[in-house]
Amino acid sequence: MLRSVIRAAPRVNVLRAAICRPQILTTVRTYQVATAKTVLKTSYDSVEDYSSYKHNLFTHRLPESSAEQSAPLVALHSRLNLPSTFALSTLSQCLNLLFKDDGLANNFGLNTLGKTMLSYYVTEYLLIHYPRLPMSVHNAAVDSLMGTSALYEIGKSWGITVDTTSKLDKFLGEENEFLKYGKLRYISDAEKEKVKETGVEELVDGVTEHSREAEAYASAVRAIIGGLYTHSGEDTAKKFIEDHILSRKIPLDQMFQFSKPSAELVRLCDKLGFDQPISIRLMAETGRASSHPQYLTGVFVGTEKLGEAIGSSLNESKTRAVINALLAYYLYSPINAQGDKIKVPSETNYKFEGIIGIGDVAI
Amino acid sequence: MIRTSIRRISNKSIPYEPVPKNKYNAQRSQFNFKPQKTSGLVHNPPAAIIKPYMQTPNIFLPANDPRRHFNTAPSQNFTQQDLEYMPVLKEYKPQGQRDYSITAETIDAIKKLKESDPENWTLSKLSKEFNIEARKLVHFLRPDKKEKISEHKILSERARRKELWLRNEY
Repeated sequence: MLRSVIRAAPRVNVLRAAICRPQILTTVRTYQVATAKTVLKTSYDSVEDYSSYKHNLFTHRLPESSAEQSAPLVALHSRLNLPSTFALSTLSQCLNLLFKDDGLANNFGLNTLGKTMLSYYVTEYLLIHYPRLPMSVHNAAVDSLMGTSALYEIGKSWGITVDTTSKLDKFLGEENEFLKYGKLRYISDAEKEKVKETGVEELVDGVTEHSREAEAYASAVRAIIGGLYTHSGEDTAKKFIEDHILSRKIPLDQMFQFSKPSAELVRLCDKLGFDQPISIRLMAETGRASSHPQYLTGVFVGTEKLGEAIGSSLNESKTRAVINALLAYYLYSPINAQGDKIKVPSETNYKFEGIIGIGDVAI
Repeated sequence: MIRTSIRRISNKSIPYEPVPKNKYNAQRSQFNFKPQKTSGLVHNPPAAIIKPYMQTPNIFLPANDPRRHFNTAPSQNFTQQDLEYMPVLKEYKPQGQRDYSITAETIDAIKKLKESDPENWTLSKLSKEFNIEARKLVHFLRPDKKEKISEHKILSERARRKELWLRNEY
């Protein structure tokens, strides 16, 4: 039987007070009020004075001597070829998502830093190398490069493992106490103690569609990038992102879904100012009476061919040809005079050699 | 001996052979193809359709792109005479030459006529009466759009195939 474990939303403190004093028979309206997380022990001068917000939760960093004794941590450090300036204690911090169990600093700050770095370099790459991508496809490409699922896969491929054994199991198994510092910690001790029944599945919360494990791995990857920036500077972080994230292939031509492609092409040619009529012509066919006919259709503007495609019916070949023409426009990638990829703004001696897209086409 | 210079071959002097030369008469011995080797460089482009992400047509290339002068293959450049042999399936007029002469009042009048007497006022009669092409008129006389098909509706085979075209999948 499937039972859902729904994490309870925080309730107003008023209700808790009412429960503690059962003699008072008051009907309490329970409603959500935005409150700062009490576990972080936030203090402020006044609610609107945002600059005065301060977390008073004491956290300490893992001493380097302890970090060095963790075999998976050292292995991860060398596997990723991280520079020696990248402290092992920071790497251990990158793998920690918990904030109240043992008082060790968690990866929230590094995660945010890494996310910002990633966002910048990934969007820079896409906007310079694919300037004409429609916005929805650009967003899908960004998601495929640095989205949670992508970073989850990358984190797993780096060999980051999750710390799932409870304190009791660790004691009984005589596990080395430093082992956990090299593993991904996001499951709290209380959760680990819970008996895992077969057939019970934890549902993900409605905010993000990814599992907690995926979110944890993604945050660890981002935090490692953030830590690299902190210890070794932006150039090293950029190189790391290029090697691990931007080197992945994005099959952009498989990410499009058109509706009304002919209308879109006509509007695109209007926007580009073509004064010749657009004609869709039958270039070749195997013959109408053939058992599986094939038609080759081409889209022309005057005498210039924009795109062509084969289909098993006239309509299919027409539609595919128009879509090929649109893709030929959207997937344009500029090159410099020597035939190499053009420079991005963050490179040295940057000069703008590409183009700026004219924007999406409105149908 | 180290080559100190490369032999310069002009783009135009390379023979264009999409299909190798036949030793025998190309027409009469189509069944009996025997290729004849041409010495030197030969431009033999693949018969496959060029993928959109591999090559952008010249008019889509911006002015500063160095590839503008390289797409000169006869397979990509057509003359008006070549296009005469390709029948037009659909044509769209460019901006400025489109006909927007049909007004809302005319269409209202047409719809009123159609409503009043559907059997007698057929499409051809209406097009003759108001001097509008039947192909155009049929768009105005289409019934109101049906509700959008929900994403989870099970599509028919034909609809599924059409979806594949729009996704550039096979």
